[in-house]
Order: sequence, then structure tokens, then C-alpha cells
Amino acid sequence: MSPEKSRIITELKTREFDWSKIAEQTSQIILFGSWAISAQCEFSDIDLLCVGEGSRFKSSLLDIVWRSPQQLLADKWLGSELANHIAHYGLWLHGRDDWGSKVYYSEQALLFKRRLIRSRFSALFRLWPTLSPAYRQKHVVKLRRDIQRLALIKSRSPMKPSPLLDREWIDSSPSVAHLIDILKRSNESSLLKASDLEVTSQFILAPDFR
Amino acid sequence: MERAIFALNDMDYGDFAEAEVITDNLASELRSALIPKKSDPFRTYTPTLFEVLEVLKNKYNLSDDAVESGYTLKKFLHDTYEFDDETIEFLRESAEYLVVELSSFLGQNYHVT
Repeated sequence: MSPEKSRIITELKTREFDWSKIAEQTSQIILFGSWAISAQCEFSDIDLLCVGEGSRFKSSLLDIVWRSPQQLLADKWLGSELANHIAHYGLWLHGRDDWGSKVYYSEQALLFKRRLIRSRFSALFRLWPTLSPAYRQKHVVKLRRDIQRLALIKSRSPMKPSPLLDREWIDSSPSVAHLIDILKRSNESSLLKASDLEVTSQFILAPDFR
Repeated sequence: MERAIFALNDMDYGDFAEAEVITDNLASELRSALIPKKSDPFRTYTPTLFEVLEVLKNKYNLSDDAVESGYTLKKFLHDTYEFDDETIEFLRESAEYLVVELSSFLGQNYHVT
């Protein structure tokens, strides 16, 4: 086992993840998210995909997603954004990758992402005046990441983890104009209705867009 | 505040982003109305609605049922990877229950601060 995998398994054990028991119950355990690219910060949780029978577990330390072996081979999974992300950036801690080469972006993944962007825009538009600055910032970041992810889906590119999206954004002279440009280049500018522009212009005030 | 509470009733439960903004908005409103800045344990952190409800339980005896509804909302809103009919139903029930509980709680305690 590589030193990197050993280090992560040791870290998992300190977070009360019963490695031996879960490794016995699963055919694959895959690390994904910020830890998989060594971009974690002090407060990052560890994201895992476990292949077997289990239910979602989420805490501030761990986020465990379960898929059965049958689900892994279904189009719903193979066409999803998460499968694309894990196939390209995941680190197999246990078992072997027998599905990563089959991933693609389904129409549902694209529609889901469009819907997510549209609805966050719409909800922010309605609730912007009452949201406190910290919550505004949180959702502006989520919105920006989803727009970046939509562009990746449209260009059939690997789904990058959030720290990489953030780094790209910071390196690209961030502005609302740049965000709109990403949508235009992805032929998705219709996602921004005239009414949304009012909110968008207010995003300029949010620190993430400075 | 009322608008923030009743937005829970009106939200599209199958719409993750909208539900997330609406619950955060309610968390924001409850926090600023009922948790004095001096005793605010969150400071610059943006707590979920569940975390705010927990503080209200400790501070003003908000019911366990309300906190549990907040927990259900948090649990499902964290699961961004899929949103099936069963999840939507759980969300709807929890949100409706929370509206009733909070309306009753605020009717008695809104003047507390």
C-alpha cells in the first residue's frame, strides 16, 4: 500500500471510521473531494464512496456515499456528475476501479445542473434583501461553482473538485462579466434572465466576486 | 420573520437550491432576532437552520420536535447528489411541521429579545 493511502486510512481511523469492518462489507472504497487531490483545509470533511449496501452518513468529519454494485453499472450513476468527478479524481483506497472508464454526462445531469442554477438565482433574487452577508456569500460561491460545473458538463470535461474550481476562479480575474462569459461560451446565457441581472449586479458587492 | 417561516410552506421541495436558500434565510432571521450578538456562538460561521434551532432549544426551550424537523431538513439538504420522491416527501413533512412549531414558539417568545 502506498504511503499516501496509509496516511489517509490512518486519518479515517482517527475520525471513527471503522476501516476493517467497512472494508469487509465493501468491494471498493474510494476517496474523493478535496482530500483526494491533497487540497483539504483544516475543516475539510473526508468524502468517500463505498460500494456495497449502506446508507448515507454525513458529519463534519466524514461524508460517506453508498452505491450497490448494481447501481454502479446503471446509467443513472454512470451519467452523473458525481460519477464523473470520482472516476477522474478519485483515489481507490480499497478494491479496483471497474467502472471509471464507462462514465459520461447524461442529459439528466445537464438538466439537473441547469435547474439548480436557475432555482438558486431565483431564490437569491427573492431573498437577497433578508439574507445576511455571510449567507449571501455562501450561496454566491455555490452559484459560481455550479456555473463552472455546468461549463465542464457542456464541454464533456472531467468534473473538478471545489478547491480546483476556486483556484481557477481566483486565477481568472474574477468578475460578474467573467461569469456571464462562461455561460455564453457554454451556450447557456439564457439561464440569466433580465430579472436575474439585478441580483447578479449585487453579487459584485460580495467578496467572492471582487 | 413571518415571511421567512411561511416561505418554507411555499417552497418547491424538489428544488434543492431553493430549499437551501430558504432554510438559510430562516436561520439568518431567527439568529438575528433571537440570539443576541454577545451570546452568538456562531460569530462569522453560517450555521444551518438545525444548528440555530438547537441554540433556541437550549436558550428558550424550543420543542424537541422542532429541532428534529430541522435535523431532517439538514440531513436531506446535505444530500445534493440525488433527490427522489421519498426525500421530497420527508422534506415536505418536516418543513410543514417546523412551520407549525415555530409559529407557536414565536407566538410565545418573539418578544424575548
